Amino acid sequence: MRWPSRDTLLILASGLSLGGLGAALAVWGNPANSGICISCFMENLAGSIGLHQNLRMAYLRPELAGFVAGALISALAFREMRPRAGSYPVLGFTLGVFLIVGSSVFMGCPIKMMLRFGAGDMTAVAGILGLAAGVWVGIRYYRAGLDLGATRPGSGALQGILVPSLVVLLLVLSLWVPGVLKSGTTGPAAQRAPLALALASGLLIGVLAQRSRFCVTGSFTNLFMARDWSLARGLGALMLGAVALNLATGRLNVGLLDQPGSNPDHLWNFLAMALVGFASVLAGGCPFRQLILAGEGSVDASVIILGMVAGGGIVQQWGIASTSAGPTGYGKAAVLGGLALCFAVVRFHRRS
Amino acid sequence: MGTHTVDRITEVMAVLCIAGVVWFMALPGGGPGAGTTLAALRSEEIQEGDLQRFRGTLQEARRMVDSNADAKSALEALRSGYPGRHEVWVLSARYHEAAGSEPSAMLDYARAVRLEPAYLDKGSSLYLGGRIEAITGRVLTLLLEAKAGGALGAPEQEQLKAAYFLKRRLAGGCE
Repeated sequence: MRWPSRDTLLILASGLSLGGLGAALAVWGNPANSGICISCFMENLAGSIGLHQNLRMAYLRPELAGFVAGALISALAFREMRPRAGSYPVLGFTLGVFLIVGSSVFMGCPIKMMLRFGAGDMTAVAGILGLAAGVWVGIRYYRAGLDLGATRPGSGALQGILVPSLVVLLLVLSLWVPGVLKSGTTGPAAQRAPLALALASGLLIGVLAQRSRFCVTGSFTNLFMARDWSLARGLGALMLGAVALNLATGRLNVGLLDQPGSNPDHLWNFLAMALVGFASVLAGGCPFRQLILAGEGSVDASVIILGMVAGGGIVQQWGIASTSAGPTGYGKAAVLGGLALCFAVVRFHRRS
Repeated sequence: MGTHTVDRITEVMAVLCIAGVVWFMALPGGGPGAGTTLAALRSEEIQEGDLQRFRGTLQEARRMVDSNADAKSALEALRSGYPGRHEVWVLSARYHEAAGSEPSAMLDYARAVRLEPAYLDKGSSLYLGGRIEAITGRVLTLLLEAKAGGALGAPEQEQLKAAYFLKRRLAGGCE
């Protein structure tokens, strides 16, 4: 048997750490099945800086700073720090908003979707199918001549590290001056893994994800575009890590209707994740991948992160985020609005 | 597929999505989403003068429920007058519990939890998780037995939805 290549090992390690630590963070204190959820973390961050008033969702998660800092450290250490920018900052910001809209209607980003599936939550299946469908549609448009412009290197080192540094500085500030950021004492905001474990997990995952280029939507993209299974192996490792941890801790509960942090509306779960898949293809990666790209100096990813933070505030403040009772009317409208935006983007950015 | 066809399909999809946005925004309370109706009610502020009256009526109804007096009409007035107040639904649930109607009690607890999630927060002064979990478990067992025996009617379907909503919330996770 041939020993897997270094790249394959990195992808497997990345997936395994996301799945294993994602499930472990929930055991250590994060909300059930939400050990890692970039959209939840963004809503938490938005609440902590006062962009929405739901204190139950206000807390700066150390994992978030860990992901970005890990990617930054790794990019610097391996000389892969490349400040670069594209041509459509406003579009990137808006796509960032809608990445969170879709995720909040589904009740989780693509990583949480996989973690939910790995914990036996069968409502995630509609989300997985929706994400795959969204990615597939996006790829069809790339094949039909979609052109959002190339990124250009040399956009200035400061621009490249500004947003990642801000995220890390916010965490330092919240630890140095307690109370400067809002921090909920009830609900999901009060459910936290210990700081050291959360930060260490974030750093490790950030380094591995930067080295491996692992991305949930990227796995589907490579599979559909080039029949390339390399990233999809990472997805398998993520599932393996999550299932193993959940089995070991007695948290594996296979079912459809009584799952934590889920809603039972399969149609809207499908459409919401289709929006995330479609928008991720246009944005060049899932919400988690944007954090890693920002750590490597991508100004585009930094703008998308700013959009995701704004989205975190909007979905909470405007009643767009779903609850365990189901999606809201505003949530459904926002998902359709996001899909309309994606279709408009591909209509107007196609080479004839 | 030709460029022209791709463009037309894209335009139709965009227009359909925009029509959907208009449709959902035009519906009362932001649309028929299960989470919307009560969320919209929650945002209804009670004016200062009305707040005094609400507190008085609630206190009177609470006294009646505590003393096993007939609080039916008082609770009906509260439910129709202040459907966005979680205290009303908890009191109504307690009334139904005392009357031995656990499915109705569970429905009212579900409404209260949607308005005030702290009822399931351990450590909160409002915490009623143990009580709600026990009732939900018993009602769900009965509903599943009834379902196995044949199709459920509309009220039972609603109870089943409420039971699973409470089970999901009791399981934790993000809201």
